[in-house]
Amino acid sequence: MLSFVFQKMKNKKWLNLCLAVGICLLMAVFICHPVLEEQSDNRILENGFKEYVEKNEEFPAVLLRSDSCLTEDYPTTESLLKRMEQYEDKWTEYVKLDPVSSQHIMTLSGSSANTNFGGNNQLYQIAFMENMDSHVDVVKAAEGNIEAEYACYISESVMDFYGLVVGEVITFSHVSDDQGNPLTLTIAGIIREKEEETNFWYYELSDYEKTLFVSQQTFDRMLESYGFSQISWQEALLLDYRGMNSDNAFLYKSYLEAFSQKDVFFSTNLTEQLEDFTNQHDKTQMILWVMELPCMVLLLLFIYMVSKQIVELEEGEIAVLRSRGTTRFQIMNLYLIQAVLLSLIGILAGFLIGLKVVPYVMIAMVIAVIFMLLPVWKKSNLTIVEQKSQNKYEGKTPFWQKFFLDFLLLGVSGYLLFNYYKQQDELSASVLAGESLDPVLFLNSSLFLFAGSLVVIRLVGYLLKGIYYLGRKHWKPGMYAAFLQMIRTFHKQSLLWIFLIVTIASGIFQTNMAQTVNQNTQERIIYDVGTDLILMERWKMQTSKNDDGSWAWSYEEPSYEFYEELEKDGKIDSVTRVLEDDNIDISANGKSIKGASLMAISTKTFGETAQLQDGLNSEHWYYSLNALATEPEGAIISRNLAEKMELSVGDKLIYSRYSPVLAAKDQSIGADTVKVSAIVDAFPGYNRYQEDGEENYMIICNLAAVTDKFSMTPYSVWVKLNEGDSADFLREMAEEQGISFTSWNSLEENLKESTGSSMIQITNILFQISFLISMIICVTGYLIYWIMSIQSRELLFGIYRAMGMGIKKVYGMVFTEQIICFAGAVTAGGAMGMLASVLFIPLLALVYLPEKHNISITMHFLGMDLLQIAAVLLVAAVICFVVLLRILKNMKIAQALKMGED
Amino acid sequence: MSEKEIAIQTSGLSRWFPVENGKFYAVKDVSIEISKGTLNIIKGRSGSGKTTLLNMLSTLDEPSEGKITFLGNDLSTMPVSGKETLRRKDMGFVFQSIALIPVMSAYENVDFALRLADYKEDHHHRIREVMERVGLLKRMDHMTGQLSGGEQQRVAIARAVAHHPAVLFADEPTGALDTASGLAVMGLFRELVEKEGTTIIMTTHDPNLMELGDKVFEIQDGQIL
Repeated sequence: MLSFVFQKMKNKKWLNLCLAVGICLLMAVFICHPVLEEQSDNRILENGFKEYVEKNEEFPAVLLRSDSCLTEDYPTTESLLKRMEQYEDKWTEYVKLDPVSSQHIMTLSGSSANTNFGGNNQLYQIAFMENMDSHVDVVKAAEGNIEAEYACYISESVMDFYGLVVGEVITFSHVSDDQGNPLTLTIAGIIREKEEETNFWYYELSDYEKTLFVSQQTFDRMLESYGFSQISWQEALLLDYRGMNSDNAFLYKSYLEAFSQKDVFFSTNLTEQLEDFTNQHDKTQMILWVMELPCMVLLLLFIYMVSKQIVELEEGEIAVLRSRGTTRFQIMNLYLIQAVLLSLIGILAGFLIGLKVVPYVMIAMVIAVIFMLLPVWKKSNLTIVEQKSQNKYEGKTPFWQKFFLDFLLLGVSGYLLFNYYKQQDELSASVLAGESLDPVLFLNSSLFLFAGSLVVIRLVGYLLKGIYYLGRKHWKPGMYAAFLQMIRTFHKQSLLWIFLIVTIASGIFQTNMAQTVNQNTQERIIYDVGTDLILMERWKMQTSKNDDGSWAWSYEEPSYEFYEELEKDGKIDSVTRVLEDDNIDISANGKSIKGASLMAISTKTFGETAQLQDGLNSEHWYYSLNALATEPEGAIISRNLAEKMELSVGDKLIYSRYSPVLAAKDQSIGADTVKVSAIVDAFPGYNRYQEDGEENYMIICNLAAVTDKFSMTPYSVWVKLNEGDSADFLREMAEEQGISFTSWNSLEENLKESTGSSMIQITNILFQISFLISMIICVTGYLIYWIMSIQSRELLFGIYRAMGMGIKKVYGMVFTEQIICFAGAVTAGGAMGMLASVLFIPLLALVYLPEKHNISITMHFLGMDLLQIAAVLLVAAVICFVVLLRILKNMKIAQALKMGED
Repeated sequence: MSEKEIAIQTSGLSRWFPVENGKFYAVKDVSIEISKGTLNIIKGRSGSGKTTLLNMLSTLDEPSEGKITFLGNDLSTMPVSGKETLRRKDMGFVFQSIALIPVMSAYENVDFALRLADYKEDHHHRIREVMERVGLLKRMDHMTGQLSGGEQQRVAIARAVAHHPAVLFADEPTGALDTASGLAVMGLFRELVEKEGTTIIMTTHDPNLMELGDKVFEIQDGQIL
C-alpha cells in the first residue's frame, strides 16, 4: 500500500510539493506562536521593569519583610540578622533569581528625647543598618574624637528637620539602664549616601526621618543595657530581575502570591509588575491568535484547494477503485497515509526547532490532514458510472450563493463594525485601562474581507455573464470560447478567486494597517519631543528659612556656554533654553485654572530649534512666535485655555507660580499679567491631553520676562542636531567636561523604543510573516491553478486547433482568460483591501494608539509593499503565460486528439 | 475523371517515424483519388495507418514524403495559416473521441464552428437547420455532458457540417456507438452526400458499414491494397 501511495505521489510530484509547502507554512505559522509568545513575553518583562524604574525611581525586583520581635528571642543583632537571612534563603529557594544586594535594618523606638539645639521632647528612633558604613560619606564629622559611649550618625534631612548639629547630645529620659542612667547618644557625624553604582540603597536615608544610626556594637550594647523589649526590623532583598523570563515568570508569580498570602509581613513590588505582565501577556496572546488566524485560514484554503485539485485529477482512479469494491474507508486511508507522509517533513523540522513547538506542530498537522481529506471524502463515494455521469459544466450555483451567505456575512460584519464605532470612546478607554481586547474587533476585519470577497465574486460572475450577453452576437471565436469557458467554469474557479482576492485584500489591509500604526506612532513621538534632544543638567538650589517662616531660595545656573560653543563650532544645528513649570494658576475674566503649564522661551532660538508638524495649526506656528517676539509681556496660549477662559488675542490674563522649595510648595512666589498674543492648537512640547485624557492648559511666554519676574528657575536645553547626527557624541563630550544630566530625552531613542514596544513589534513581525506567506501561497496557488487548468484542457486546445483555430488565436483566448482573472482579482482584491482599510483601520489603530493626542490618527496608504504585491503577482502571471506558451507550442494536434480517445 | 470532380488526390504519400533500425512506416506510398460528393470509407484494422492517413489528408499531420492536392491546392507548399483557413472553412471534422467542447451547449458548439468559419448567413437559422437534420432540435440547449454518446456524435456531425464544408473527415465516427446509433450516423452521412453534395472520408474497422460507402479503401500495414 505504501509503495502505491508513493507512486501516486510521484505521479503528481509538483502538486504534492505544493501541498507540502502549504503544510510547512501552516506549521511555520503555528510554530511562530510559541516563539513570538516567548519573545514578546520577555520584551514585556524587560520593558515593564524599565518603566517601573523610570516611574518609581526604585529597584524593580525587591522582596521586603517588615516585622518586629522580642529581644528575649533575639537578644543580639547577629541572631536577628541570621533570622533575616533565613527568610531570604527560603525566598530564593523558590524564586531562583540571583540576589543583587540586601539591606537589613533594625530599629528601637527611643521615644521622646531632649537635645541642646534641636529642642526638647522630640521623637527619635535608634537604628542599625547592616553594612551602612561602606555606603555612606560622612559629610560633616565631629572635630577630634568624641568621647561618647554611644555615638550616632544622622542624615542631612534629619539635621535640617530638627536643626541638629554635630557633637550634640541627645538624651532619652525615658530609657535608662539598670542604674537609672538615661540613654544618651552623641551625634558623631552627618552622613549622606555615596554616589556609587550599587543597589545597596533600597531604603534611603531620607526614608528614616527621625532616626539616629548607630554601629552594630553600639546597638548590641544598648540592647544589653537598656532593657528594650522589642526590635522592629526591615529587610529588603534585591533580586536580579534579568533572570525573569517567559519560562519562569508565571511560576514565580504564583510563589510570590503564596508568600504574600502566608506571611502578612511579606511584600514585594514584583507582584504588581507581574500582574501587569499577565495582563499584557493575555493581550498579546490575543493579538497573536487574532493576527495569525487569517493567515491560517488562508493556508488551509490553499491546502484544501491543492488537495481538491489532486483529488479531481485522481477522480477516475478513485471511482475505479470504488467500483472494484474498495471501501470508502480504504480510500480515505490511502489519502490519509499520503497526507501524513507530506506532514512528516514539517514534523521533523518541528523537532529540530525544539520540543516546545512540537505540540503546535502536531495540532497544525492534524488540521492540515483534515483539510487534505475533505475533498477525498466528497469524491470517494462515487462509482465510475456516477463519476462519468456527473456534469462538470452545468454551472451549478455554489451553496453560499444560493443561500446568500455572502451578503449575510457581510451584513453581520457591517453591523459589528457599526457598533464598534458607536463605542469608540469606551474602546480606547478600555485599552488605556489595560483591559484585554475584544478579539471580535480584530476578527471582524477578516470576516469583512472574506464576506466581501464572496460578494465581489458573485458580482464578477454577473459581470462576466453581462459582458458575454451584451456582445454575444459579435464575439470572435476566441473571445466566444474564452467567455464561455470562464462563465461555465466560474463555480470551479471561485475557490481560486476567493483565494486571490482575500490574499491581495489582506495583504493591502495589513500593509496599510502597519503603515498607519507605525507612521502615527512616529508622528506622535516627534510631536511629543518637539526637537531632537532635550536635556537638563543638575541645578543646585540654596534654601534658607526666613524669620517669618517663609523660604528663601536661589538656583545656581549651570553654564550654558558648552552648548553655545557647540553651536558656534557647527557641531549642533541650534540650541535654546526652555523653562517649564507644570503648576501655575491662571486667572482671567473672573475664571481661574489650577495646575496649568508655563513654557518660557526665547522666540528666535526656539523657532530655530523646535519642530512642529505642518497643518496642526490654522497658520504656521512661526506666526505665533513672531507675535510673541513683538510683545515682551505677551503670551501664546493653547486653544483649550482660550475657550475655557473665553480669551481672545489682545485679552489679558494673570498667572502665578509657586515656590520650588518642596517644603513650601504651596507658597505663591508672585503673579504676572500678560497679553494674549496668539492662540494655538499645537505647539512643540505641548500635549493637549494628559495620560488620563484630562486637558492640559498652557501659556507660552518670553523667557526674559519670566526670569525677570520670578528669577531664574531650572530650564531644559533643547538641541537641534545636525542632519543625520546621533545625540551620543553630545553625551560623550559632556562627560569629558564633567557635565552630567538629570534628564535626557532624545527623539532618536524614543523612536527606537517605540518600534521596540512588544505590541508594535509583534504586529510588525506578524504582518511581515503573513505578507510573505500570502505572497508565496498566492503565487503558487495561481500557478498551480493555471498550469493544471491548461494541462487539463490540452484536448480542448487540440479540438480548437483541429477546427482551424490559429495558434495565435488560441494564445489570445487563454491570455484573455488570464488577464481577466488576474486583473479582476487584483482590482477586486485591491478595492476590498482599500475599503477594509478605510472602514477598519481608524478603529483598530485605537488599540495601538488609544491616547488622545493633538495629532489625531491619520491613515497612511500606499507603501512600497503594495507595489511589491503587484510586482509579485505580475511575475506569477508572466510565468503562467510562459508555461502556457510552452505547453501549447509543444502540443501536436493529432496527439492531443489521440489523448481524448484514451 | 476531370480535375473539377476530384476533391483530394495523393501521390506517393508516406508517413514514417524514425526507429532504432531505420524507419517505421505508418503510411507508405499511398496514391488515391477521392471524388467530390461521395462517401469514402478507409477500412483497416487497428494500427493499420488509417487515422494517420486521414490526419494527413485533413492537414492535421504533415506527410514525410509525397504530395496531397486538396480541392486543387497543393498542400505541401501551403503555409500553416492557409491550412488553418482550409480547416475552418472547407473541412469538417468528426472524431472518434467525439471531441465536443464541454463548456459549451450543443447549440454553442455548432455556433462556435460557424464563427470559426466566418459564416456570413444567419447563425441561429443554420444551427436550427442542422440540429433538425441530426434530430436534436429539442435538445440543442443541453450541455454536451447531458447527452448520450450517440447524441453527442450527432452534435459533432452537426458542428462539422454546419458551415457547408466541402469535405467532411470522420475518424471512426461509429467507434464509440452501439450498432443502431452507428447505423443512424451512416444514414446521416448518406443524406449529407446526397442532399448537400458533401464529400465524406471516414475510417472504420467495422465490416458491416462497408456496403454503405461509395468507395472503400482497404489499408494494411500503411499500404492501400
